[in-house]
Amino acid sequence: MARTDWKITAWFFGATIVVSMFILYPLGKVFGATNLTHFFDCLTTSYFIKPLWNSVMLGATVALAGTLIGFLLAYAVERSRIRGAAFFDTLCTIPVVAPPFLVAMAAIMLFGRNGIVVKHVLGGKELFSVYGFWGLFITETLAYFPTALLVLKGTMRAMHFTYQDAARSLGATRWQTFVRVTLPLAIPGITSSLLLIFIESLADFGNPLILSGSYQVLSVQAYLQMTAIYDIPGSAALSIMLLAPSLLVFVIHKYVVSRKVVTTITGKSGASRASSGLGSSILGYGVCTAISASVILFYGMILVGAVTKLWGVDASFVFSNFAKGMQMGWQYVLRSVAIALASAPITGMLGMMIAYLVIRTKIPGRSLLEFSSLLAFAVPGTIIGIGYILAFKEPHWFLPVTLQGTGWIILALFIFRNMPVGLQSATSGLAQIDKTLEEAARSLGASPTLVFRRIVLPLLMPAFISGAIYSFVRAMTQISAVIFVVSGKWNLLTVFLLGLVENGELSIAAAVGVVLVLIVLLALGILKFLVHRWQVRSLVKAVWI
Amino acid sequence: MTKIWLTLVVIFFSFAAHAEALRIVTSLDSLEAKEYIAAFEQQKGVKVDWIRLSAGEALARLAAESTNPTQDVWFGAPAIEFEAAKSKGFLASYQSPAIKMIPAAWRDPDGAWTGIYFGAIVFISGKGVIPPQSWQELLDSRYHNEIVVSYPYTAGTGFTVLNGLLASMGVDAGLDYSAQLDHNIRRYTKSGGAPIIDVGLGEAGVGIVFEQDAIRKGTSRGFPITVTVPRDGVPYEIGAVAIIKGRDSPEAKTFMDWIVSLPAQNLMHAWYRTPLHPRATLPADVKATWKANLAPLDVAWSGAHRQELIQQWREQIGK
Repeated sequence: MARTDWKITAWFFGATIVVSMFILYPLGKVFGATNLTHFFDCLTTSYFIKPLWNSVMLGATVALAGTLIGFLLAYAVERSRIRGAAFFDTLCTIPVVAPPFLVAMAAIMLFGRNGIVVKHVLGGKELFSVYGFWGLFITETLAYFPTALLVLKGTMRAMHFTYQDAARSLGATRWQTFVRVTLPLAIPGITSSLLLIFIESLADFGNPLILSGSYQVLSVQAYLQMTAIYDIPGSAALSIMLLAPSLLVFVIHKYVVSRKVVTTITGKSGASRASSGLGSSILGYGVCTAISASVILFYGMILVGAVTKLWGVDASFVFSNFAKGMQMGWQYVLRSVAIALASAPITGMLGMMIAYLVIRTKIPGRSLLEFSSLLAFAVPGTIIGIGYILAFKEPHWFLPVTLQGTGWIILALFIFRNMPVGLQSATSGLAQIDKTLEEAARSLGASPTLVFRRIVLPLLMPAFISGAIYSFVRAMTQISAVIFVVSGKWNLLTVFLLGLVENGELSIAAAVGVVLVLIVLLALGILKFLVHRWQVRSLVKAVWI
Repeated sequence: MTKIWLTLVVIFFSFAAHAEALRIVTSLDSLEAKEYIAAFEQQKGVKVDWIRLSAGEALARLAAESTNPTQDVWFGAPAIEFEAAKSKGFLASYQSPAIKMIPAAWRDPDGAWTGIYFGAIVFISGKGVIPPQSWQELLDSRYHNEIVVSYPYTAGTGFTVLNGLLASMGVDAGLDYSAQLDHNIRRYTKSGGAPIIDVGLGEAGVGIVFEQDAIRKGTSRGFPITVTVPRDGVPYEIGAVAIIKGRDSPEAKTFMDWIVSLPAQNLMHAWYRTPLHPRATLPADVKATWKANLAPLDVAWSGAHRQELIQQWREQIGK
């Protein structure tokens, strides 16, 4: 952009200040707690190096599998016009909705050595130990492929199909069109999804906590080092190790994306939806059915757990788990919903603004801003949690109140921890919107803020909605970071749920988990309804003006 | 629209506003803690904000908040964990006639913490498994890849086991034993109670856990497990309570006096805990009481050497 006006500059400074305060400062607090000696101690300790390798291998495999599944699903749902797409789509949002450790429990019930599949299908022969790589691979892929789906759906929606139409009318087969046109256009989304899932897998500890067994991963080791040995320096050193692969992936991502960016939304001509061929329809159905079946299998297990007397042992039908769970946990439900609802729009908007500042302005330091924003997601939740305690346990000159112990700290943590997802999907969305559109508006006299409001925002609505939805569900289901900043008054459903799982209240935990899923699905349903009714554009106006 | 922003601002302020109440961190599990705390609120008319954190998490939090504590009381974790907090100066000393009802052997001489219950380590065995009777038997090859126990560095249970072994066998022999036992370990768990679920679901053959947990989370729930008491030394814990230094809430003292009182101590047997008040009702079905062949326990020594012992264990085992 030729000229940067003062409003955009002011946004940039605002974004820089909040990101510094709520991401860099807490991280600095943690990383300031370690030193080189600790770091090298860890590098030479076998029980830290092996988990590092394990984490990277697991993250890479889960990222590949999750992205592949997510891509096929997104393509099927958004492009192939298969029947029942909405149904598959809804089913596939379920994994993002439930706390991962319930899936881990379901995995044990299915694939454990006494599990249903092993006992009744495989005749008691364990194909793999659920407490190890395969258990983690399955549960994490199932937990994180929806991330790929969300990101790639945004990409697919933002992709106008005039190019595909052109390719087809020039005689390319559907397959050629897919490989030569659709796939390259989806590269930014695919890369984003790989990056996000890799990092999610690295930072995940809900699943490894229950399933890691002999296959130890770094996030759990960092967590244990912090929570169990009270060794903040050691844990900080471990998280630097954990951060390194994430950073590497991030750099690769930038390199690949910057080479392959293709813009498809321009001011010219209308676009059509591509029709799908028989082959891709069959593939679409196949993938949708297989994934849906897995989701139904795992989450069906949780549902079974919720209505049986003792999950895994006593299968007699009871309904009392719901009553018990809600009697004990209704106030956690209210708190979680309130905080998740408050954080979602702010998170989505912030992510979008930062994406715009990063992609569309030439302000020096914008990559640093993007990098800092992504840090909150790349660092394991535990480290953020401890960082928030260290940073906000007392008032500062720049923040004259104590956040610790209030709902504010939880809200801030959710906003900054979840914002990178909105940022990523807005970034890949923006990469596809041709600059000439904005330049046209500028040349007609619109200010950069007006351009953002009237042109970028409406075009990025899918990305914004993805970001906000994602942030809502993460706020409802996240635990690794938030477990440190909850208090007696401001406690959350997920923390309550983990307590239940750890204490053997398996059926009550399952019931509470089911309620959690239902609440989130209900909220998502209402949101979708509102978005359709209210019109996307007026929603943007309402929030923005 | 300004309405939306206004609504957000209102939500924000409702977050910030909070009434003063006694703040308790508990390492007991939520359901049990809730019952004691509700009884306390009702009997003493004090409002309580509480949170459940494992002992390790609670200590990490006390350390992180040491310059500006947000909690008043730490309730329900092994006394050894309280020793660590005491040595770092996180605990306030408190003694009163009510607290003196607890035998002196089960209190900190400086009054930093007070014992409230006794808990013993036992073996649990699943269906079709020959229940082990002693630590030596656990090394038998029939338990290969069958035993589950919590990490000594993540769970009070795990450390109580390790500490008991080292105390009764001597540090070197105890570490050797741990290394031999490691050959039979199926997996180590983060939380102390997790082995009960593993054994209960048939995912492992034998677990090493606290008896009160085994009964409450296991047998009383319907998990098919058998409890046996090790013949050659029963590691045990004293569960404690303490006031956290800093906020000086008078209700913290009210809570301390109440939790050692007979009405409070009599709530414990329902949770299969052995209360320490001499006249309190003991739990039925508990096999390992203080009459069992207890392993030696020196809370102050173990608390002071905790890191060292764990470090040695980790080097020996590599986990």
